[in-house]
Amino acid sequence: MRNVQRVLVRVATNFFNWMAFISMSLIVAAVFLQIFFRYVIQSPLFWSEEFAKFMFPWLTFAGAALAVKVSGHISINYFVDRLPKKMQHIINRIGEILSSIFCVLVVLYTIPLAESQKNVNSTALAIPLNYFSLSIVVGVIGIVIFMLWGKSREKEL
Amino acid sequence: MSSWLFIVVFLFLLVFRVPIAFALGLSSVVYFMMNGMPLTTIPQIMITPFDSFPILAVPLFMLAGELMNTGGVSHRLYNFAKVLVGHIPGSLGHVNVIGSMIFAGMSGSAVADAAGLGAVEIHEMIAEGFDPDFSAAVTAASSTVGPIIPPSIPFVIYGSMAGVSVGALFAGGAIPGTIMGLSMLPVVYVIARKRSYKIYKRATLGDLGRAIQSAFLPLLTPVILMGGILSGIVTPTEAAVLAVVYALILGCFVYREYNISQLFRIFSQVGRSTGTVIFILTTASVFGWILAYEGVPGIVAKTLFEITRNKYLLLLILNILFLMLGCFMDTITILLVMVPMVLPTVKEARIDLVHFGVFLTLNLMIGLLTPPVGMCSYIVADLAKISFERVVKATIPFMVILILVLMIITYIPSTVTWLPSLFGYVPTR
Repeated sequence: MRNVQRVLVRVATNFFNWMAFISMSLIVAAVFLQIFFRYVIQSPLFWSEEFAKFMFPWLTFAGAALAVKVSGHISINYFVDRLPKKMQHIINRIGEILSSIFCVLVVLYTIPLAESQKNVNSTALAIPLNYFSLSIVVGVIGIVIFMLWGKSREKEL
Repeated sequence: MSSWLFIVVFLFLLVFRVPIAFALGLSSVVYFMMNGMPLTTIPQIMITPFDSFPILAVPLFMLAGELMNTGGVSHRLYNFAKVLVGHIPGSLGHVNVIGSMIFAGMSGSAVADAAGLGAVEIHEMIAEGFDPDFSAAVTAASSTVGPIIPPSIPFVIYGSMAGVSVGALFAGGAIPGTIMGLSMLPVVYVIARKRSYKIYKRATLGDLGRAIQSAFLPLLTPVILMGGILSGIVTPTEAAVLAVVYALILGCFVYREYNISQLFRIFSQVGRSTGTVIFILTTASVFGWILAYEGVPGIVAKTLFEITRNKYLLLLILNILFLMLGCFMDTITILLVMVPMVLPTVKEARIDLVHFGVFLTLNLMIGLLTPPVGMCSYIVADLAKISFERVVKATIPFMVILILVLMIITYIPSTVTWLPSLFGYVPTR
């Protein structure tokens, strides 16, 4: 079981790192092309802005998942830091479970949303909108994986 | 009254260290369930912030700042600042402030300034015999100019919340940011004189020439950014991409500081920072939606106007409110949750929205220094290896100066609105 968890966390780490890298690169490339085509080629692109916005949630949710792994999400530590270590540990675990419950709820309710958008296409690129909301599902599943099994003590990936 | 329970739940979760993004989401779920509203609305609201091209500037400015930080740029800027002000009593203290001001012209986040350039600054200062608490305090205090001097991540977020031109906000921050930075120099001077810190020889013209040459290309970044935005050639988001591409060219081809694996690391690290900030944005939109649904903005306006209809008193109340909030919560959450709450009041009182955005952000920047949750103070304490309490104590003179500057820009709106008005912005009077 431990081994399965470790492999799962490793695969997820790789996956989300690549997801962040690719979506970030594509955003930069799309917006840069937008400027380039407007000023140098003098024929503005019609799809670049929509494409960049389309990659935005994928970047965000990949990053949100990775941030869980290094405890990078902003929280107020001031009060809990003053409690004994054992209590801190218990409180952290309860917090992680509550946060995971939120994530599971989000997944459960995003799936019907994505389902309903299956036949709705975006204006410029004609991409079905459910690929948009799907990023929430993927990212939030990553958050749960890291939350429950993958928190590393160090700040490095 | 029972519908207010979700705010209690939110505060309770925060105190028990649940990350802010999840605390906002969980308390919203509680509200929806108690009122029997369909939970499918939650992901629908969560996805709305992504439909904004301006908000996309947030990760891009983060990326530009991070690329500059790691691509050998921060060292060059630091040396440039050293040649400029190293001979004045307080030497590296001034270098620290001036360096942060220059770096603020390329990066839009105080936390990134404190953690990136701050690491260089604190290390050098301590090695040269400056007290760690003073070194840490100057670094933390000067990092707060980061989001006031353009570009600025808080301005991007405020601009899209309040429907204000991000370009006008950027221009509006330039003068207040400069006042902030310059007003810290006398504090550094006085403290350094008292403790007789090391002074460097005045740089020769040759040194100055070499330093300018070495820092010249990075120094062009703010020119590209602000020139592009103010002339209307590019939007802030596009300008951010220009800065990213420029930093990539500098780092890959001119200074040759990056390889592929380093770039991969930087991108995924910026992805993580984006994840934390924008994830808060998604759940905060749900939380904000509830507050709006409950009519809180109207209640806030009514309460404030019952206290006073005097504009000057109102400005004071807003400042105190945001200073207090800044002590307990992070910049982004306050912007996301509170701006829509007070916006009707601000409009009704005929306070200019660019002016409001700038002094509001300055309030939140002071909050980055104050206990119990001063994020920048925590970072520099960690870097200087001293306690948070010692940093806070050493930062007090700077906080006093910052509050003074805050009062100046609050009560003299033209310090903010004059520059944008040159570029066609029409301030509210």
